[in-house]
Amino acid sequence: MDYRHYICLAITLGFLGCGFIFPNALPRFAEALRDLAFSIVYYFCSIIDVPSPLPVTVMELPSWQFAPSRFAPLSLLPASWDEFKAFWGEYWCTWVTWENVEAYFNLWGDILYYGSKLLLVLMPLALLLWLLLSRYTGQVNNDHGKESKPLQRWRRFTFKVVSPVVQWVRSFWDFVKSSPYKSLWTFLWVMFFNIPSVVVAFFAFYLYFICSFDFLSIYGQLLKLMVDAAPLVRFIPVAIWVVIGFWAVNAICRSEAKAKLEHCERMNRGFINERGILTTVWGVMNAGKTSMLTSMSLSAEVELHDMALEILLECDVMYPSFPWDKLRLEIQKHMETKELVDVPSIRKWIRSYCLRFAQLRLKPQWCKWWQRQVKRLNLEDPTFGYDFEHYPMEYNDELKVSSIYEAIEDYACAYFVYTVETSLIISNYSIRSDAIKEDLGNFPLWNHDFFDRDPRLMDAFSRHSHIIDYDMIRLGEKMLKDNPNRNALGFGVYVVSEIDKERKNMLDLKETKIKDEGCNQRNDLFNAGVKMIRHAVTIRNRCFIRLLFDLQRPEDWGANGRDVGDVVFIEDKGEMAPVLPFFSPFWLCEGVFKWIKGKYDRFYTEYIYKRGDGTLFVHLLRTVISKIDNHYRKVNNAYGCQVLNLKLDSGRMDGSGTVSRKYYKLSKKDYSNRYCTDCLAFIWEGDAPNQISIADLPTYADILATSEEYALQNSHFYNDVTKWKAA
Amino acid sequence: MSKSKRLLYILLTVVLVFVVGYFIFTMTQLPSELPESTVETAGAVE
Repeated sequence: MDYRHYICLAITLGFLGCGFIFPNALPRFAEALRDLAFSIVYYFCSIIDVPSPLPVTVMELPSWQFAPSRFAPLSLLPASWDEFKAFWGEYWCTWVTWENVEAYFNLWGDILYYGSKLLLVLMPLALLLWLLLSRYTGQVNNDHGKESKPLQRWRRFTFKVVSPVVQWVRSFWDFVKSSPYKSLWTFLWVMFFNIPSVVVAFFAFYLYFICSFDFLSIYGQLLKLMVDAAPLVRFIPVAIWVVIGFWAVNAICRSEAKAKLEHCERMNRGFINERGILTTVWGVMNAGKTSMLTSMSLSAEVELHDMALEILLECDVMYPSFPWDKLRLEIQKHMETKELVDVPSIRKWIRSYCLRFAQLRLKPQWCKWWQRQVKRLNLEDPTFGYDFEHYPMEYNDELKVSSIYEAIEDYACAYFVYTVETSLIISNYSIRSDAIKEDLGNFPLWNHDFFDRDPRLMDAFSRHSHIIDYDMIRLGEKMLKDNPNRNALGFGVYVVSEIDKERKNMLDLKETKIKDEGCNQRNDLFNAGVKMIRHAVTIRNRCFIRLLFDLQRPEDWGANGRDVGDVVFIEDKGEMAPVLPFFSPFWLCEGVFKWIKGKYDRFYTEYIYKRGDGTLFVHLLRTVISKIDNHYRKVNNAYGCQVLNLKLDSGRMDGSGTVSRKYYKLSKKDYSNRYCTDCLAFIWEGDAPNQISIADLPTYADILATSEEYALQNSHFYNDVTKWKAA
Repeated sequence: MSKSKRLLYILLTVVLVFVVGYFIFTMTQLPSELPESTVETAGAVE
């Protein structure tokens, strides 16, 4: 047998031995079960209006015990409701007295007194630390790769003792987690701390309360809770409670921060929904255009999934008896065989079924025969198994009467959009998305929680955007003759960065003619395609296409294309800061750490400037600073939020209707390896590898450049000046 | 986050701890038992 079993058995025996410290756990649980049983009887008797044959004992204080408990009940509340009322008045009388305020200030004085005593002890230590650090930066050497003897001993100790122990403890903990011991130990301690008794007592009181509405008995339940919680509170030392309290406050703060991040994301989605089909973002260099575009595309992708789900639920409710699950399975089957590849193919498929059904309906006797054949031979059923003889085939929504096949068509198209397991972003640079489709074989659900992703598992759930083929949007000349993608325009979020370089304006295109051979910006009718694009994929009056472009100067893109949508200018951006609530310990702790890190950076820079060797003290200091720095970096990245102040204008950019809006860039969502900032770096790749370093470039000899030095610039201006002088 | 905003947050937290601490401190100043007459008066008011 694995030796770890023996260790676990010994631990289990130890825990069972601890049961003598909690002798009343079992009797208390038995008492709670009795209370529950009597409450159940009382509940059923109340329903049939008969007096209960058994007394209701849930209001009584716990009394069953094997031995007197060593844990005195918590004395937070008075012993009875009358006493509570008396203490309540006394409390507020005391609260407003000056003596009480004075006593409180005296208490703080005492705390500050002991705090200052602690500082008195720490200050010489700080001086000692400063002297120690000065000693480290007092020497100068070039002993690269050398380590001091204490550091070498420390490394041996960590490699040979600490690491194996830590690894063994980790493997032991994994062993415990995968064995029944974890459940057994949890059960034992949960019983010792009366937690099952509290839960059972809650249900017992609940059944009593809903019949009696005895509000006064709630106070008694609080007293019982004080008695039941006493072993838990008094057994665990105060120091552990302080740690638990700190952890609990931290957990509350993180939960609030996550709620705030989700609220900001909903605001972003509201902003995107307010925009039209086409949105163009512009701003100065480094304003964050492409990162905002990326952020918008991720939210727009979620929006498409949500719109599709909305349609599915709408259609489901219109015909509740229709076997929508069969339709979904059929769609899935046809998608796998590539018979259904886009929305038009789905419409065609459903319409063929509609036609077939209409033909069968003309001959009722054939209809019945056909139904039998479908069942017998497992043929494709144009009704998908819907009992059209007993359930409606039409829906009246007070606007029109629609046929069931219209709903089936919309459902099928929406389901295709919803279920296709690929990125819905088509872009001219790579964007990583990480939506997870959870499918148990029934109806899939998308998990779009941007803030809950573990970066260590990124490869498992990432997918990248599709490479845009502009020929899809061109209504005129195509760049590639007989391009197989030319008809592939469909639902999705189309993202183009630097659209002005792609499309140019009239001034740049004055030498380009419509009748030129080949595809150019004048004869490809791209702008016309953009204008008509909302007609490409509309399901149930909702457009499933979004265009997101960015550029540096709106005037560099012709008005013909730009005018079609909104133009968003990034006016300025705020600081990226975590959205933790004000009472989070993070603000103080990180502030103190930043101060310490500033001092450490100065010391460490001095250290590596003067010394080439490694020492134990500096190694330990670096390790500790690194771990704390990593923690705060993680918190800043997980909860960071930056506000962008935007100015919105119409594409005409005539200043009419300019409005201000805010957009929230969320660090965890937008900067989690989403895209490459220098995604167009290939522009600067030369025809040969560069051999000239910045140090090799010639420098000016003096503050006033000579004519020869100007000539080295290869400047147009210098050439013009030379011509003027020669003329 | 700017220094002034961080200082404001820390100050607000200190004020919150101070105020909540006063409520808890007042609870500790109450006597462990009240005279019976006070308790009876409280019950009679009900």
